[in-house]
Amino acid sequence: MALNPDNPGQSGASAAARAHLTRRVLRGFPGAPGIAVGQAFVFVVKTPHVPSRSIDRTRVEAEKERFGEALELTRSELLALKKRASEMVGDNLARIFDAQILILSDPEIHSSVMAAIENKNSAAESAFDRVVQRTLAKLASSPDAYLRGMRQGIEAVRTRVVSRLLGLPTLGLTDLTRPAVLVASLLTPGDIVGLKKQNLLAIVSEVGGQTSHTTLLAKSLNIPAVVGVSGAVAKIPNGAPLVVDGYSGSVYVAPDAETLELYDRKRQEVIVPWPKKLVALRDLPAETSDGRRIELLANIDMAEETADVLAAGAEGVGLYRTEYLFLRQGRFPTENEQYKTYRQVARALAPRPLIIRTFDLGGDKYFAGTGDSAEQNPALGWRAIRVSLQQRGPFKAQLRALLRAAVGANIRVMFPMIVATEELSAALLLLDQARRELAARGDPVGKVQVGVMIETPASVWIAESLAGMVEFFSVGTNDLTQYTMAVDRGNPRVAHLFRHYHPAIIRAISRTLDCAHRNNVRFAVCGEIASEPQALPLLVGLGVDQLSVHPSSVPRSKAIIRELSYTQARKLAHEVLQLESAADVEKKVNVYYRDHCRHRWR
Amino acid sequence: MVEKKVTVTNPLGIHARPAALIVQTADKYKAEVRLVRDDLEVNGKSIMGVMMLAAEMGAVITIRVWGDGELECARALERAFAVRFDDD
Repeated sequence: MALNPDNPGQSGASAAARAHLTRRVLRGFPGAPGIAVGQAFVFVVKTPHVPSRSIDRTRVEAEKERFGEALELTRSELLALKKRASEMVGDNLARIFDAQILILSDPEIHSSVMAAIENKNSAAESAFDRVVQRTLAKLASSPDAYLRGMRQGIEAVRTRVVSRLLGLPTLGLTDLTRPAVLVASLLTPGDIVGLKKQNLLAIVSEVGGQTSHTTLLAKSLNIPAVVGVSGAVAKIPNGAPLVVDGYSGSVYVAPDAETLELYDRKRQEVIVPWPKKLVALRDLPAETSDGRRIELLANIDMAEETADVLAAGAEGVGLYRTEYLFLRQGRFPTENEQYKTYRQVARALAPRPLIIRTFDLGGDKYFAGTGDSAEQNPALGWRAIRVSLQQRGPFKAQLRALLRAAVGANIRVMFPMIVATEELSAALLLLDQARRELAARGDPVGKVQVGVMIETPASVWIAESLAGMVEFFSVGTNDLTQYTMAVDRGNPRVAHLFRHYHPAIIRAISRTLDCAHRNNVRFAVCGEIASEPQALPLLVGLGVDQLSVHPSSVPRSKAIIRELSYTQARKLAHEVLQLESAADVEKKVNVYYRDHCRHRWR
Repeated sequence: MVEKKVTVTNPLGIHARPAALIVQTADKYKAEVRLVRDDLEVNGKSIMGVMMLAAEMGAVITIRVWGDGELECARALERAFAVRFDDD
């Protein structure tokens, strides 16, 4: 059913679609991991109602034959689905269809139905339905859990056979002609296996536990699944744009631009598979051949990624983006909710550091009614530290959560989008207030190191002052490049101007690094540039102390660093700083990489 | 007619998977198969029937087979009852 806002004559589902789509976040349980972005295809199961029907005495033999045929056709259907299931996901799950095929072939059921047709002039579907209902009733009262579990298989067989006998379209899932997120109350393996694999982006169901057939299938198909979403079918309009977060079990209906952008970016993240030989590097330090030690950490968006960080051999988390925590709740999470998450991650990483970036989203979503209208220019607007400093209550809640989680753990905090020392002062003051509030409550207060993100041109130019107030800097090259180059990387007309090898950015990094080191401040780079292999010699040569990259990039980055000569890298950096164009920098950096990094890690 | 007594050794009893194996085994032969437990008798080729036996571990089942291939069938069923599955 397509959305058709231009045709006011259409009723029913289209009317619902035309009505303003309520933006909401639905919570369920994570069934299978992954992120999907797409339109909802809401599938409503219609269990056929079977009227009690009699046939004419003369039609008895024909009716028996009709029943036999229906059984045969259903049997073929199930065998075909079983074969597909085997090909798609392997033999284990294909066995689900075995049970259904056996039910279909059950001689007792068969003879009961034939007897009813013969002796009571029942229509085939009425007779079959009665026999099945009797069987279901017997099962319902059984103390055996497995018998009760057979219900699903019998119901599935009933629906197929009865639909065929009544001439009803079977299930209709072949209607999935375009990629979509399947939303249903309950999904059986038969439903899923019959679909075109490439059109199934994700599964959202009301029923289903984390070990049900549905979730097992979703995992095998490598698509996200969120189960246990109460009222999903009623709450999600057909055709509504959705973001499905299979990691946390969240479904965003009609997500706003910011949510969409953040999740789309996450979805497109390139996960670099590691060659086996890199596994050996896991416990080795990221040290150049001539002894310069770099701290190599990882960036995470979600607590669920902590295991990846450890598996990759990262020395901690250099950037924990707390945005997704906020997005998933659909509201500002409470102090306790945040505390639990931060503590969980910190403990898993201990004694390695966990560097948490405070609230970095636009404020309108969480603090409605505080602005006059939607912002014209959100990237330059009310977001990040600007929101935090104006919404002190919630900001302090985040700070208190951090401070509490820091007890017996290694947590550092950094503030995003700083443009003035006054902002930093205000933030530090609030941090202090948060400490005192905890003390007054009798809660233990942990120690945290404080840093700032260098991601605005202003922060680059006042780096000297900022350095006097914090313990570390972390450069977010993505935003720094956008603001410095005055470019919206999402705008196809000008996206080509977004180049983090532009001398302006390299010089900005170099300049702030010098300020930092003069003031005994640690210097990290956590933007995308750090994940590029060819950027590593340059960054190391500039003198960075710490790099934070995507977990899957850690092994490769370490391998490259271990092969570098710091002396030579410094020479490279010095030469790069003399160049005047992005193209020149890129060329020099690529040539160096080609000539000096013996093992090319793709 | 061939009659054999077997004891259910599967810790979880005769649930869906063993039941399926029993029925699939019985289906291979032309002979008629009945399974008896106490005073409940079911058709061994009926999945619903075999499951209704609700035979837990330790239950004693009598297998009755008659017709073509009754001996092989009975033996095969005996083996089927003895199989312990990877119950997850």
